[in-house]
Amino acid sequence: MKSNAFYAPETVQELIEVLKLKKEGRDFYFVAGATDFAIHIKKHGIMDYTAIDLTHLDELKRIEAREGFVEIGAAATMARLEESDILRSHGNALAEAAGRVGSTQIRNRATIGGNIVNASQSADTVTASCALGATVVLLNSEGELRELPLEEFIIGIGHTQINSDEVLVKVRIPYGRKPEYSSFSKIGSRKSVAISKINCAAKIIFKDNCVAEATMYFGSIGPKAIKAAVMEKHCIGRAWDEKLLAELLELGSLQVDQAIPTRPSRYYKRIAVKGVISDVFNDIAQREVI
Amino acid sequence: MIINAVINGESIEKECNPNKRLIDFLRDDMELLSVKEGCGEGECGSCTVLLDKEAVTSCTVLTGQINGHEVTTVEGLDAMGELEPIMESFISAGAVQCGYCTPGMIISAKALLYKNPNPTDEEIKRALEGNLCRCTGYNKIIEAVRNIKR
Amino acid sequence: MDSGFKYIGKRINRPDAKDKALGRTKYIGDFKLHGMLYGKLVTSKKAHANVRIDTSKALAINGVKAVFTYEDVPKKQYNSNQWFSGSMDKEDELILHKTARHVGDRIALVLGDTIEAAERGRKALIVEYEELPVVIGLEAADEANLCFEKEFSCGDVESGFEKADFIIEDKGSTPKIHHAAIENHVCVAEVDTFGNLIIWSPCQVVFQVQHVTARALDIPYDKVRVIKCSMGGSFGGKTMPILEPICGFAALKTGRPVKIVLDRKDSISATRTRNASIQRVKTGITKDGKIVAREIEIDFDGGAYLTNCAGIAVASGKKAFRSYDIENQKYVGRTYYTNTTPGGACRGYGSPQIHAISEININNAAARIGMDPVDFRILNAFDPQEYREGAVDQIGMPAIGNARLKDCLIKGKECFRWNERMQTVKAKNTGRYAYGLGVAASAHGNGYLNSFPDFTNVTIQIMPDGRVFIKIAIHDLGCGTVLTMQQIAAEVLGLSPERIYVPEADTHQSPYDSAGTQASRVTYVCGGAVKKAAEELKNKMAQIYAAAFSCKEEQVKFEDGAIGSEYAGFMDYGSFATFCEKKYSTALKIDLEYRAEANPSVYSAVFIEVKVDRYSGMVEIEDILVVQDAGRVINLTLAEGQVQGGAQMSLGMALCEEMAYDEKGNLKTDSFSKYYIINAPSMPEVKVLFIEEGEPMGPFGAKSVGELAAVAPAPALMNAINHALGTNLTSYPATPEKIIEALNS
Repeated sequence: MKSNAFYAPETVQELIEVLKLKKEGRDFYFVAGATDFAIHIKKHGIMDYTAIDLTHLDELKRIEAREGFVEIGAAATMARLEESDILRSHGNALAEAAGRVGSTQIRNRATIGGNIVNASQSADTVTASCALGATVVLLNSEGELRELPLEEFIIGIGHTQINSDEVLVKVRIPYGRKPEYSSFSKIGSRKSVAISKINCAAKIIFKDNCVAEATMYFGSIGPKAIKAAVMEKHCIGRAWDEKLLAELLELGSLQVDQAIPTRPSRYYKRIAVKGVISDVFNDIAQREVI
Repeated sequence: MIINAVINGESIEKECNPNKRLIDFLRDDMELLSVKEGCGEGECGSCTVLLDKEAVTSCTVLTGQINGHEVTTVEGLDAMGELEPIMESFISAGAVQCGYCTPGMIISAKALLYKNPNPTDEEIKRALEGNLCRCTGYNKIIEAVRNIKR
Repeated sequence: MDSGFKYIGKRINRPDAKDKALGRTKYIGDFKLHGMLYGKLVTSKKAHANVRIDTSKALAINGVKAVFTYEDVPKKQYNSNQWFSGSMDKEDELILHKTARHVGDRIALVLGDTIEAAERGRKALIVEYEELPVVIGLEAADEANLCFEKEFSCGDVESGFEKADFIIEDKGSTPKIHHAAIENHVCVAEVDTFGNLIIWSPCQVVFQVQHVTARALDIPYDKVRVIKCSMGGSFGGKTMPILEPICGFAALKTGRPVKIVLDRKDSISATRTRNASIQRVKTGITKDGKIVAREIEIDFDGGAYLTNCAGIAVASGKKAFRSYDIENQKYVGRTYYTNTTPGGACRGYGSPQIHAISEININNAAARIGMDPVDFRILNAFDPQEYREGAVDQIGMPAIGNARLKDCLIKGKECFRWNERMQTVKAKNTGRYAYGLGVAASAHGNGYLNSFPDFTNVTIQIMPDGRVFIKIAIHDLGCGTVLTMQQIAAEVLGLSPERIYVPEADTHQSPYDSAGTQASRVTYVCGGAVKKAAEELKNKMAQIYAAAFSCKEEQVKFEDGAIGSEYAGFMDYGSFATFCEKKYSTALKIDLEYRAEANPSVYSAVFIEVKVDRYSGMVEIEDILVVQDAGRVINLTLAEGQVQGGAQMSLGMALCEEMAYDEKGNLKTDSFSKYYIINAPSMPEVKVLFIEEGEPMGPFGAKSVGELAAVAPAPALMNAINHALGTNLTSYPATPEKIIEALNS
């Protein structure tokens, strides 16, 4: 039976009550930015549904620095993420990624929660968040919370571990005491307002001018963001210089070959990957010097 | 559902379908026809309105979501006396040809100027990146926005 | 340099800009008529199929008032491309089809009291498809699908090639382009109190809509009134009546006003496209750089219906003989059926296609002998020609006229500092980024003389309040045709343009015009008509005044909207109109039928500096200069706007625009998130320079600007990319994938 209702919970308790209804009913959709949602209902001709609007919960919009991690409300918009000083300090790659999603209008509405749960293979905030070691926090209809690594939460294209009575409420970006440098880059069909054909995020921790820890992820070359383990290992103990960059560019092409051996887009992406690696590498090089 | 919102400076309390797209609510229920539909998926920007002073594509917002918020269109900017300098600049720069993208462009420009009264050309282009135009090639629109700040 | 004109050449603000900025301008999608029904067009999801539609569930939906299919509508075939009754275009379209021939083909219309009801009705229709074989794209078409062929030639191409020292051959292709007007296709039809059909349409030729609709519905022409409304862009896409026949039918059948609005998906797939092409160009040159022979073969994708299959092949071919003085040249154009969206008028109409490959070929020819590509073009370009009545070009088309291609190239080269940049541009190269320079030239026309009837009628009258009322079937597509007419009349009559009213076309109010806004004829032909009519009106006024006040006609003066002489005093135009009526039983009015007497060309040269990312294949235009031979610019702001807008469209074809189909004929690029047009961050600042050396027969020497602007930027960019990378890309668009493939193969 088709439904046609609208809920806009303003407290966590109200949200839990709505989750109970969602568990029973079909045709229930969370809407926040509604940018993906609008396209979805248009494409599938869905005219009757129940919307659960997440934009009236202040709790879900905050970006706060806690002990050892930045906590981001799932309904925080790309615009807020991009402008956040906290995020620029402790999760720059995510601030960069958010600033490259869609257009100005889209960024004013699209949320990190929506981007993650939609789980497009080219989701920019997912690549960045994975590189930052993000975890996600889910709330269910019993009021229980569970936390798990983002990389585990996402299973494949459009597919996550979320249960029918759960809602994504927080994203947590851990940070340590050592200075971290992270960056993000993407290549789409045009310079601005484009879906990524390939994207890259990296987080580097230096010690004595050499790489002590490296995390690197690529997006849009597989059903979910891929950890570039070989490239990460290759960086350890190295100086962040031109020689390392040249090697990483070659390894990047091989990473693409390995990820999408049979796709026609491989031939383009194995070259384009050098662009995103260069961008991220040079961005970190500049900020490290400063 | 009863919506309480401020539309173009006026507080309204109105019964409406909360699942209706905001663009349809504004055009049909509020008769604000400056809000145009060009693509229905947030790509062309001709439906751009201000939601709490930020530019959003009204075709991707559900009416229920504006409850407790402020929505402004060019009709509202005009009524509140905030349109004149932008409009004059657009007209004299030759930034208006067919005019279909113009209200959306003006709203995006206004949103930018609220945040940044002296934007660079790069910042202007970024603010307008979600507004498509097929007539002008954007040059005179950028010029129009550049000329407003003074 | 002051031209001495009061209004011509000035940057006069558009009078309609204010309402547009205020959001007050009513486009057809904004119409709300009493008792109006909303129509949702149902289009085929298969590229070639017999269609069976079960309407029962749809009719049962609350609010659905009617559903029309092939069974319900008249079965008379028509061709939506016909814009006048003498058109020879063969007819193969129907109002609604039983056999769909492309994805997006019209198969039904659902009418509802509300849009929602109509949408629910559309969803509830049960459509069964009996699929038939498909031909998707030109590669799949063969001789059986050929629907038109045309050859133009001069001299003897074979002996020309024998004389050549070098022969340069290129093959290339251009894509199907979506016009991408921001306003989707829309139509409102209603029946007036007298039982006549009124069609409100954002069209380019009201008489075309009238002709096609009257024929399709089998009703008298005079019972079909078509009114041109404010339009959110067209670029040729809204020329052919697509919605008007079914909308008109629905209004007549139900007796209620009907509004049909297409969504973006249908605007892309259910209307018209720029014809795609596959081309072969072969050029023979001497070692000194003179072109002695050229052969161009173009295959056009006509799409699923005949529409403009003839027009595109003919219009394109003619352009080959307008720019360069080539003694021996042959052009063959062929158009093929495919099961894809039909081709139609699109800004430039064949010029973009033929210049796209031939201008790359010109660069390759120059490179073969180590000659600068600008100099090569200057060497071969036609010189300006003196006006001679009845003069023709090498294939019998009206002469090129005051052709200023050389000026465009020479002045542009200097202004762009071409030589200096050539010395230094490659020094900017890094490991990742490559820089290059490109140039291209193009020609376009000024109307239909020697191809189709090209004439218009105009009535100009002084009203009792001193304002001037001009009736002419003018259609403003956003480009400013109305203001252009106002400025021309203003200059002749010495009145501010604001006091001159030029309403847009209405079949029942405007005198007959043979072709509307197409073929770049408005400034040249319609503007010429307005100028002549205004001059004749002024003569009539002088004659009457001289007779009435006993002075010589030479002594009659026109100042600030008043007529008079030193001796008899001044009278404002309005009072004079009343005076003439009372004393001489005549109106201060001229009715004029104006025929085009020439069809010269307009020319452009475009210079581009480009930066290419060798990793991502992304292209950034660092600098672009467009030089256009415009005769005389009527309004500098309007003209610049046309050049910049045309550049956006042309550069789009070179970089990112392409309607792409899968092997079954499904359109992959059916939204703005997949069909990219250039947005603000990716659009460079287009510097514009006009050459104004006049043109006989053009009003104040003016000739066309807007379509020409959509031609040369694309090949100029391809040439710049090829120069930067050492490639020979000839397949449009030069997407990042194609660039990377060319670099790495």
